[in-house]
Amino acid sequence: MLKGILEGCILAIIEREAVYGYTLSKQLHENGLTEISEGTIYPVLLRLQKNGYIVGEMRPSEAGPDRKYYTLTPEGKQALEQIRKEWKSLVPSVNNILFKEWYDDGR
Amino acid sequence: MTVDELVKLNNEKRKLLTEENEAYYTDLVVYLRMKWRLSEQQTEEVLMEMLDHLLDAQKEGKSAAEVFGDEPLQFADSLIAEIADENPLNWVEFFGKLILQLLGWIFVIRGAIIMLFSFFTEVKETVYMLQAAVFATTISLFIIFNIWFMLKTVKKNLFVFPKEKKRERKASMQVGLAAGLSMLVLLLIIKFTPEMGPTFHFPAYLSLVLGGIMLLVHHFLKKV
Repeated sequence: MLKGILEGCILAIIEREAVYGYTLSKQLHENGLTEISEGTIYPVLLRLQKNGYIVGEMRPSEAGPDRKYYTLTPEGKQALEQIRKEWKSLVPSVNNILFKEWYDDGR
Repeated sequence: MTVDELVKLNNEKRKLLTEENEAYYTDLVVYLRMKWRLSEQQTEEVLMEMLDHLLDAQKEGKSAAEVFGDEPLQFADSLIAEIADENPLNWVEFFGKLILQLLGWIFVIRGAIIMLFSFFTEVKETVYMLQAAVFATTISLFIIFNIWFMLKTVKKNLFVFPKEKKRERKASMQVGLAAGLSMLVLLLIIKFTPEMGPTFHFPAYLSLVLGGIMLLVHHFLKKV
């Protein structure tokens, strides 16, 4: 379940702007996902490319040397919407189970 | 970029790593390149991406272990699981070229040796087919065994930090010893295999010409 969530987060960041590996891991960290090591994104990026959800393209970066920038494909956009939908319906249910006592006490 | 260009650039950029980061990253490189099943292009591309990442992280004072985790072997395996297989056609091409080159050299060397010795003594230019088959099998096994043993030794010493000179020397000695011993066996088999099987005449000049053509073809194929 958690693997799919990291994929969703990576797709969402790439949807906002084309990124390369280093900036992608930076953004994940800045959003509070500090538990996962930076390298973890590379197997995920490979998988997303294999599924045709993202494509990489060599472009010059601000820092100078060419970097592989990733952009979303139409299939990737579709997959992201699916993940968003699933996550939306998942969150209240999981909250309900995990924090049942809290909700009950609050009543 | 082609695989060759990526490998060259990788070697250049790796020099910018600190000693500790270089040891960690190089083991990743060796481990991934040893997986001969994988697409070379994809492997080199992701290695380059990670090298750029590590160089950026290094500027911020981070270590390779902080970037890629404390379990490099597991991390490498998770990458390998996602890299596509090499196109089988590339395999046929790779082995085809290798065999062409090997046979080319064997023919050229055979031709040259016979010509050289024929100045001093009578040399037979006859090929005994069964004997030649034994030689070919033995030489193939010799090559396969030594590559296998070398890879096995390298693999055993991957992801062991810090790198110790003593360990590396021991590994080199093992590989050298295996090569020496198997060479001895190879020579003994060649010396004691009797002339047997159907024969045909394969003169030295033909051996030279044929081997030369094979090496030329190989040379041009390499450029394409």
